[in-house]
Amino acid sequence: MPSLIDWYVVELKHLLSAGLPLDRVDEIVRESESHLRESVQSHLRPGVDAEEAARLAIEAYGQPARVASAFLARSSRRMAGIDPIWWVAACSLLAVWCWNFEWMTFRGPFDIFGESWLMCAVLVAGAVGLGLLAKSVRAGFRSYRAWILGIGLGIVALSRPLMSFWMIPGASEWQGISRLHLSRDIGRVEQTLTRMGAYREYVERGLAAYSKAKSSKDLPADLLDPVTAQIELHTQPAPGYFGPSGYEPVGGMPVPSPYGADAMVDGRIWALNTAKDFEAARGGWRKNGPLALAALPRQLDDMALQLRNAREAQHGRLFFPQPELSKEVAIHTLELLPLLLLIDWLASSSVTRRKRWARKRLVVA
Amino acid sequence: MEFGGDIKALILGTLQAKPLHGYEIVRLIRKTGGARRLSEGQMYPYLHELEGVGMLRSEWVTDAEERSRRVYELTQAGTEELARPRSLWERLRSWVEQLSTNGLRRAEVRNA
Repeated sequence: MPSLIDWYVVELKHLLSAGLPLDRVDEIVRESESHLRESVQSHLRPGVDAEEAARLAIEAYGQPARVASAFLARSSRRMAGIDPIWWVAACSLLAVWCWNFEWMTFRGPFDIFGESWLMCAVLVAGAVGLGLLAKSVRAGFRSYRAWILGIGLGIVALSRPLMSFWMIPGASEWQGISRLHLSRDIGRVEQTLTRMGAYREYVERGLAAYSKAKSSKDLPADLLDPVTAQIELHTQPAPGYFGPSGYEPVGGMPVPSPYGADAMVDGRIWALNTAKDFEAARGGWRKNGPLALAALPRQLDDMALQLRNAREAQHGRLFFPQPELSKEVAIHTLELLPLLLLIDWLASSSVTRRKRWARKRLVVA
Repeated sequence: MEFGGDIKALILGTLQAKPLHGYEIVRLIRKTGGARRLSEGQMYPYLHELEGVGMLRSEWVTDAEERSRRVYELTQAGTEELARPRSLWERLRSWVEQLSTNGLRRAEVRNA
């Protein structure tokens, strides 16, 4: 049969659960029980049985509601020593950033163009951010919807200056180089510019070879095999790499390859595609070859502009207006906002339920 | 740190001699007549608060009879904090002594 102490401990645990994290509740309850059992021992004497000793111990220790109130009143609502409001703010920002990285498309794990690790990392960071958001709302013991809404709308309002600062554009306004990758990408653009001659030569040679060839046997190896072609173009020998610049695949050259690989020149210009057979590849070359050659000057201009902008950014220019990009960020943020508010509502409503229950118990006590 | 009443100072003072578990701390404070307005259970939040600000550290120990207890120990920060109210008390005591000594002298002079 449960003793008075057991009942006391259960009651205390319920009351504390209303406002404190469970691991802390367990520790308090364990310590209280240890105290009470010790106290019972000290009260035992001739004429005082175990039940009476337990009653005396509980009387000295205090009503569970009073003890719980004392703990709740003196417990700081902190998470790892930081006020939950800061956690909420940081987690909301992290989630918005990850969302803008398109992690919810789950592109990362299936990204055949490379940088899968980065997309996966963003995916994990986003999920951790949302989890921590729920945890911090619970730790704060209230709803932070006004804050979350404020942060979301603040990002929307600031998306224009933020993105104008963060992304360095080329002529195609929808994407650019981020300030985080500035040094790395300047190097890549420079490299690509030096390799464009080889690419032009490759396309011209391919056009000529495909117009003369009767079958795949008449073609040189680098027009058949994407790996050989990439080595020829001085790109990475392994197929696939998606660069930050995001040029449209104007003039993708189809290669009749059993490997089904795609390739780019430095991640900027699509050089190779695959085709199912020789005829399809020849059709592709006929269609895309002239387009690729025609697109080259524009692409070179675009890269030159991006390089110029990137160097200006390095030398202190702060803003590069890009209305399209900031609009995209604003839309993505507004898309995510309901999810953040839902998490806040779910996390805080469970706390509210516990609070209401505990308040009732405290009033009764 | 501002002492909320005397309870925190009492806890720190109790732990000055040696590490103690919660029950012993509460008993000792009760013996001195301190913190009468609080029940035994209401003293624990103060212990936890002191631990939270780094003045105490604690660990669970199990004795020979398999009873587990949380034992508290004063940290360096706690020792330094304890010195503050103590020095204040010493100063107060010396003022009171001086006052009473001067008062006695004046009374002696008057009587002479």
